[in-house]
Amino acid sequence: MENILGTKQQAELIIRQYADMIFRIACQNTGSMQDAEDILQEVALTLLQKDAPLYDKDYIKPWLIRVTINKCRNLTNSAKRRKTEPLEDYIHLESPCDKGIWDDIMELPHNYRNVVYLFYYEGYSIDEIGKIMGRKPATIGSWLYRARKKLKTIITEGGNSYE
Amino acid sequence: MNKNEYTQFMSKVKAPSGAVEKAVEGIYEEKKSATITEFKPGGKRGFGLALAAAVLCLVVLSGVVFFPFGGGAENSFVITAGAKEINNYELTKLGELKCELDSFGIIFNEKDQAICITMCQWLDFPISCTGEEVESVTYKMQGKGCFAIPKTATNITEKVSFMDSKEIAPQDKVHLQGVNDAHSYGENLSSFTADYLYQNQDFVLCLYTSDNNGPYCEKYNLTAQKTEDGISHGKDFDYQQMYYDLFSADDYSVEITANFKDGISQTKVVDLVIEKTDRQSEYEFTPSLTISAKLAE
Repeated sequence: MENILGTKQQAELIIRQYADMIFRIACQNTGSMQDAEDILQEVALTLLQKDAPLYDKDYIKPWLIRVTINKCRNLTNSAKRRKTEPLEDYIHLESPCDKGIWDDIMELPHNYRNVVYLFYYEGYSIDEIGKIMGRKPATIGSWLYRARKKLKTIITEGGNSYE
Repeated sequence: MNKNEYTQFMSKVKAPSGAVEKAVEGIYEEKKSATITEFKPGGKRGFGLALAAAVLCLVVLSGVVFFPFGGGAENSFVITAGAKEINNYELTKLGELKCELDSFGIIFNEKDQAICITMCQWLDFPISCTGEEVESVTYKMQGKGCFAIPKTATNITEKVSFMDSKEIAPQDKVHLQGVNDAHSYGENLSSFTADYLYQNQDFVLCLYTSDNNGPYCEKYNLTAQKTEDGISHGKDFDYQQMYYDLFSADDYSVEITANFKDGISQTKVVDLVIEKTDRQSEYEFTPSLTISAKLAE
């Protein structure tokens, strides 16, 4: 009985600590705030699984990121996902620039969005992102480079414009 | 958008308090017996990665020596891919780990006012040389490909010497820039030499291809146009077949030279052939292909 309570209490602490991160990743992968809330609840339940690293401080965050991304992928591949919803229904956009940023993010392929988030917001290195996403660093580097290009206005380099 | 704008924006995206409380509530409502579920990160893909990684480790660490047909000859070696020997009579599959086609792009050439399709495939460099009295192994890429060696590798310059870089066309170079930033000693390595015991560790091979003249766009109903924000392309095109046909149009091979301790060198060539699989990729615009290796005759 003590172990069960300990596990659930630890899971609660973790969810409260990382809820915003999970929600952000889910938002930008699903484009739906309601779906993101559902993902948050599902991720919370995965913390009760036997191999969840509840007490590993170094590993729990990368584990949560990977679980969240996988949950989002499963949802987007299923018939249950909702249509994308305007972000301004859930957060206060202080400027037209905010909406522009969100639109730009949603234009990126899902894997690029995750790499950009993990690199620029969470501060992970390319190698670390590769381990989290199960991809080679070479691939992550390539995705990041392409995402940077896509997030800028028209880039001209050597006479070429790049998409 | 710059980094500050992005991070400031993302900071505003927070989980509603009600959603957090609901998630916590769900934790305490979950019964113990219902929570013991098997979690498989990455699913089949994760299993394939783990298996292939285990196979590669076994090849590198086992030190098992294979003798070629007519075995026992001095200064002889065999080429292995994963754990299997490649020979002239059998096409050896390198495994699903190697099929990571994940870079597709369109470039608009301002000078020619033309659309160019570019693709590349990254793969663990799966081929190694096994033999006796081999001091070092030289790998040389033939065709549209190059090697990348991780910057994180320790004492790399003591174990690997980098021989040649190659000129890459701009439409092909875009794939390599990110990789070179993150991964490689030198750039666009066309050949390198590794100590015999250090070969096949964390090396990456990149194969690339491109179509400058637009026939593939027309053939596969890929529409693209230049806009103020860059280039937009249609989503409904047969990328699986397009990838396969584009890569099949080029030849890719690796020349492997075993440098023996007595000063003798021997060379074998491995052809890399792109093949289709039935496995569905979980990534956008990423077809499912494998690479097979065969000794060139």
